[in-house]
Amino acid sequence: MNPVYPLPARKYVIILFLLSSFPSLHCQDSVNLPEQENEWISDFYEENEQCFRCHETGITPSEGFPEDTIDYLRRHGMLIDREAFYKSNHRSFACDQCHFDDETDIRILAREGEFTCLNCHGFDPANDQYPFAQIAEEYGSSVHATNRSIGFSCWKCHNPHSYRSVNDTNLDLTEAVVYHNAICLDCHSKRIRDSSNSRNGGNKEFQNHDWLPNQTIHLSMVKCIECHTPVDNGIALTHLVLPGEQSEMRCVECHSQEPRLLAILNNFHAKGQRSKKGFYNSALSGELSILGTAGTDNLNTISIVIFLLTLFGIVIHIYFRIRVKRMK
Amino acid sequence: MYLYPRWIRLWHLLNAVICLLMIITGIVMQYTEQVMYPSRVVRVHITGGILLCISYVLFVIGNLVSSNRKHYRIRFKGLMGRIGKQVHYYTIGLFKGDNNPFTVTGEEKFNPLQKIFYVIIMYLFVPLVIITGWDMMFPGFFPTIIIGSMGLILSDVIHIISGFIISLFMVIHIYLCTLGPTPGRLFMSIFSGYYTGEE
Repeated sequence: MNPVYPLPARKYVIILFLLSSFPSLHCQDSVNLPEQENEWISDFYEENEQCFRCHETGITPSEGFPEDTIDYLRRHGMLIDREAFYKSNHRSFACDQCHFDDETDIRILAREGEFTCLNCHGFDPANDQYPFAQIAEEYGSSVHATNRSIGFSCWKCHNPHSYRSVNDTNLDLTEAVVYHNAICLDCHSKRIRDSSNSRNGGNKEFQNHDWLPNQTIHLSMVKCIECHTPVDNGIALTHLVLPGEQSEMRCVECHSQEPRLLAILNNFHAKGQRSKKGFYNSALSGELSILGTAGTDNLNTISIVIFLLTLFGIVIHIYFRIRVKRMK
Repeated sequence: MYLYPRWIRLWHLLNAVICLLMIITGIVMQYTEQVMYPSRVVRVHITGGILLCISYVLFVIGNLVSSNRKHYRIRFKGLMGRIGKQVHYYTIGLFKGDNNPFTVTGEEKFNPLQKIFYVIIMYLFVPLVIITGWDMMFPGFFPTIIIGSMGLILSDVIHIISGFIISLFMVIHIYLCTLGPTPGRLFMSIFSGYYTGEE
């Protein structure tokens, strides 16, 4: 039998922080995303409403539509947030465009097992900016794909009914981090909650981050994928999620003068600001500062020159003191 | 002349050891990539930083409750002239056999140049290095209040520059202590408490 380890108070604080944040975070709309055009109305709005009459998250029990049925739909992911859908990337779609089988001529609700993002996006020249073939390859090597017991698919992160791709340059850093981490936390916060309730020495999910100092700041200022994917600037490698033991644990990858992770961390977000204001201006006025990165080569060179000049002055002073002493 | 009471000597010794520790570990962190939190260098620097805070509190309390504070009072009237004379003595007069324009007494043990530098270091740069050091131990506290965002880089740069200036001060301070009747005599003062004059 595994021993029961009591959790130190600090861990409780962090777990409480995470758990209290996540329910609001995993709804991506909690982030102050840039406004879309307000007047936009789907061409299929009326048609879709026929589906939403039964498949909308806000549905309430009525005659012929009992609580049990709603519970069933909810448990099987068959209730869709209408508002989130009409803000998502797929908002211009009619429900039937995906949930209709041309061969059998019937509507099909659960299509998660049949489709991946590549089915539609993989070979579309309009999506050239996203290297879907490479993304598929990297995803195939990721812990999400290789660990088959978790039943992962594209849809776990990119919910087709709510996912909205965001251009990070329009967000400030914390919003971008919250937005991206909410995708991970949608599943992993549940695991943290489950494991922290465990009485068998569990909470492994959280203990894996125990080595990390200043956890609250790290967790709110750094995207999960910065450490949990290989260090690279390409978007594809953000899909190669690594097992915990292979994830980045070297502080110097961020906290150094040539931080590779810093470059990625701010890859999308900081480009805009940096080009407008210069790195130090944006760093001073924003949230981009990372300890250990301030020692620029110029600062080091200047300090060494001043130090050598001081030593040179002392040597000259000693020389004249000795010379005067000998002349006496 | 008995100038340095026991508490000052003990505090000075403690402060000197801590500052040396902080400078050495600070240099290692600044000029190498040894900024990993779990590294021994960082642990020593953090521990030294906490000790430095304690040492500084002792210094402030000591000066508040003893007459030692009078040595840090700057008389601004004619200050530049007195500093000029002292600089002239150290750079030229010393080699011509001039007498030191400043005479150490029980009422005034620091010459104008020493005094201005000691005040700047002890009441400006040491507090700065401590405050910014705390901010980096508990990131995002002070600058959030001051500039409305987590300007860690501001703390980082101020910490580095303040630390560098304190390091320079330490080098010059140690060198000027060789200006006793013999190069080692003034160093003995801080152990014995008795001042034995300069060259």
